[in-house]
Amino acid sequence: MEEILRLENIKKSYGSVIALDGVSISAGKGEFVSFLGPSGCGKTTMLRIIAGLSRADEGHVILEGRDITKLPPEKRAVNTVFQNYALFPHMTVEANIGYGLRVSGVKKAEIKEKTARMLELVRLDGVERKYPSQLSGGQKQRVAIARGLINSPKILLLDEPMGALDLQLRRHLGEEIKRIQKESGTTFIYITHDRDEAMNMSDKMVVMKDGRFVQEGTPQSIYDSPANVFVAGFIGLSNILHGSGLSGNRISISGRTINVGFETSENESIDICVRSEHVLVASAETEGGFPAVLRSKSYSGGFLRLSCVLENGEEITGVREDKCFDISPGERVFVHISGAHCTRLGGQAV
Amino acid sequence: MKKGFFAALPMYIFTLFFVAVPLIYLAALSFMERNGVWGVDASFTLDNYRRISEPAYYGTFIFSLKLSLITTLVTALIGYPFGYLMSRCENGRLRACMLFLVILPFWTNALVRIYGFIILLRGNGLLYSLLKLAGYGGEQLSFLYTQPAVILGMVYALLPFMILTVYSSCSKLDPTVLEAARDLGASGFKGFVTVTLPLTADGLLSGIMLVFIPSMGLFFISDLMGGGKIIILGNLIKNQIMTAHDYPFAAALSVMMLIMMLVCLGAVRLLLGGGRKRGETR
Repeated sequence: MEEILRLENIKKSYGSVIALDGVSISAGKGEFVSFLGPSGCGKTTMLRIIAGLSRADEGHVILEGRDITKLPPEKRAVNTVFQNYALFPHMTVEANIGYGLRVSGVKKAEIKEKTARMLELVRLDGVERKYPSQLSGGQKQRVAIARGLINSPKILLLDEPMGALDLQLRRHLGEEIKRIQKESGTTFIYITHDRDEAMNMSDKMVVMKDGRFVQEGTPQSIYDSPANVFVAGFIGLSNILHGSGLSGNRISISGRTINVGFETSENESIDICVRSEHVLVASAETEGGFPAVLRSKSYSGGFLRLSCVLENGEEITGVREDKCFDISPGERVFVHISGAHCTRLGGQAV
Repeated sequence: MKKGFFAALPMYIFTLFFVAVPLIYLAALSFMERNGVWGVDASFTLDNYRRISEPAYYGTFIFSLKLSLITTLVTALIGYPFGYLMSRCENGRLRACMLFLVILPFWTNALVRIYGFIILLRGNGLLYSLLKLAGYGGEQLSFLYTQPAVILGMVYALLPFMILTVYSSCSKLDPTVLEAARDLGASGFKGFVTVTLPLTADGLLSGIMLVFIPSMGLFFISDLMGGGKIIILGNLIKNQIMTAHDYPFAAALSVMMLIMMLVCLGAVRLLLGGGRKRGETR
């Protein structure tokens, strides 16, 4: 894939607070890249540096092979959808969308035509003459996207565009954003703290923490093999277990041994994670089962989710398909962990 | 009767007695005739208005309007950037300090402050002495008692009103909207003209009103800074009342001044793009 954007060792601090601690990344043409991280992890700072709204202390921003680190925002072929949309309150929807063309002196007829095309792309009809204060949150978001895309930027930056919307709208608008990205063929850089949004939309995902990139890859690869406990926890894999290595691909957890699919060595401390669909909870003791206490059970999507506590105090969640599992919380159960599906987490516990 | 009418009743009564009645009285007076030294004849005449069209009075109108327009323009040119920059100041303590300095002059009587200017600017006044210390060997200063001196006094007295109204409307401006303008390709100047200025026009407009209106009537400033040589509408009206005791003519002058102001402010409002037409909820 042709590279469109490259960040080289970007550093930025505000006083003694380090917002970005030397991050580097590359994004391809037409890619949907999302940056996922808790608030304060530096993702908005990074976006602002790409847009030119903030200056990096160190490092370079390369757009299509050209160093744009020192260019002011108006000279960059990059546009932004702001978190609160930042629509111009004194302009109609039409004027908002056409703004980027108007300030660069494009002819009226062309502005009108392109604005109409943008309205079509974001599927907004009949609101051209309305003012932002008369629009719903979802409509404002579409106007902001249309306004950002009208200059045909190389990259559209989206700063938590769902932040101000309610849950029901999010899912639908997420699909819309993905469709708009595909139709326009523009590279999207999307910032969010919501893992579902990032998982559903991205071609590439970057997990951030404390001004650093913790892991990058496709949503699938990150989900399947999270680099460390932080990533595993952040993308919603709740089953993180601590054990110690034994010789010959075995680890010991809570006094029991399981065979795993990776190399282990004697006495090393190992963190593993296993998805709840690979954890089976049974009422009777069988070979290799971990004794545990059932803490709670809940139905979710046709499955019974069973949250248990192992003897060493660690929590583990498993699922069962049969809904007549008649053990109540507080009772004894046995947990089977599929060793083949355990992933080793790199890095230190966070 | 509409809900809330009774709650607002005191306001209606206040407005009726202190705004509507005096205005009607003034308007009625302007059609009456002067009688004796202090008296007024309750007859109907247009003579007072006819007198305004005499060159001497008509000329004062034009001159006063010109002086007020210059004052308002200068005040806006200084006050708008000042108010804007003050609202953008990120250092909270510095901002509070500037705000305090803007308000500070109100703690002293305006008349006293203008006298201060006279002491400063007089031919052989404080400024002259300082200049002499700095090696200036020229003649005594001749700035005081000129038209620019009157404008200086007016600008000085009215500037805080402009700064404060601009500051208050600029503080409400969302800075990300400006960033959006830059992001979409507007230069700093274009962003200012297309976004900042329209969004703070209401503050500028209030400032213009608060400066333009009094600047026609502040007769003590033109008296003191102009040495009695500069006559603005305020002086004219004051003289008609205090010296000539011609109430009907003073009333007619006041009514004409009122009309002139309304026309001017209407024009400014149109020019700045009537911000209230668009169903905005701010």
